[in-house]
Amino acid sequence: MPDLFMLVLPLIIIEFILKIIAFIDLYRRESTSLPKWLWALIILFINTIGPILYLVLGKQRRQIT
Amino acid sequence: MKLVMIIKKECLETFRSHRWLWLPVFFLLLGLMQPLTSYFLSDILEQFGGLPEGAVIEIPAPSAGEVYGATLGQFTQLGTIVLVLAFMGSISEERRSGEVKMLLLRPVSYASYWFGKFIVSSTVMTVSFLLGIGIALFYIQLLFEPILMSELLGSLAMYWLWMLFIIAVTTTFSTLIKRQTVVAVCSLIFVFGLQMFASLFTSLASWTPGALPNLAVAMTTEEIVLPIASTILSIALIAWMSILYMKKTDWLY
Repeated sequence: MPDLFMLVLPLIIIEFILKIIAFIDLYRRESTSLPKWLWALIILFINTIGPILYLVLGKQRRQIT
Repeated sequence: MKLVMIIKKECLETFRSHRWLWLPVFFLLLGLMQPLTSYFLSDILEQFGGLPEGAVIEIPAPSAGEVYGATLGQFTQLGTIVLVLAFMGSISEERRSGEVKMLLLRPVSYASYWFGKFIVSSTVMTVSFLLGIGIALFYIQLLFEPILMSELLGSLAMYWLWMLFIIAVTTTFSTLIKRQTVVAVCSLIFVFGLQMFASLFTSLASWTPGALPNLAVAMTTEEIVLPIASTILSIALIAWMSILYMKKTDWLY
């Protein structure tokens, strides 16, 4: 039977990368659709779905006329 | 080559919106979780199930094929939702913001615009799907037993075609409707409806695209010609329809 930790390790690494990239994007972005601190909490505390939600919905919509 | 130009521009757009990142990651996680939870199900229940002291449960270990089917089941539920959410805005958002006017001022035909979008979306989907199913298969052969490649290929191809169909439906609704949320709701209802129809009326709907995911889970090679043909035909049909719609209406405004 393989070691449990080794099995779950990829999961943790992927999760970590996702969080880091979401945070870098949040830091660089000037304005987001929700307050920044709220997004930071969402990214930090909601696993997997949180960072993805930010990457999908965090961007402020732009308008070209 | 106008098509190549659109594809390049759209690739850049998918990089900027991080779709190249989170879509593969999401499928990776889906493909990773299912074999793990299947394998550790009895331990998980014992730890977190809130069972009374001394309760004994015997869960027979699932076969590798069953775990593979369960993984595809996850892809069908969460995967569909995520695919639709990722590509709901591919055309409608550009149309809403007016970006499409600037793009189509240049001599780009509607057809190459539509197909450029469709091809890039399908590429992202294909990479994500292959990564997800790849890691699932790796874990299945690690924790259970390997699945024969010969049985697998047909099933994978059918499932891929079904996901291609989802992309085509989403892109079509994205062409027809300006509001992203409406696009998402329409596509999800359409796709899940087709699938529900196919699983409710098995014999009646065995030729519709909705039968494909069930066939892929069952890993059969019988009676697959009709659903495959009907899916390819419907993709071609809705592509043609949406391009026609763009041409015949005041689409840019």
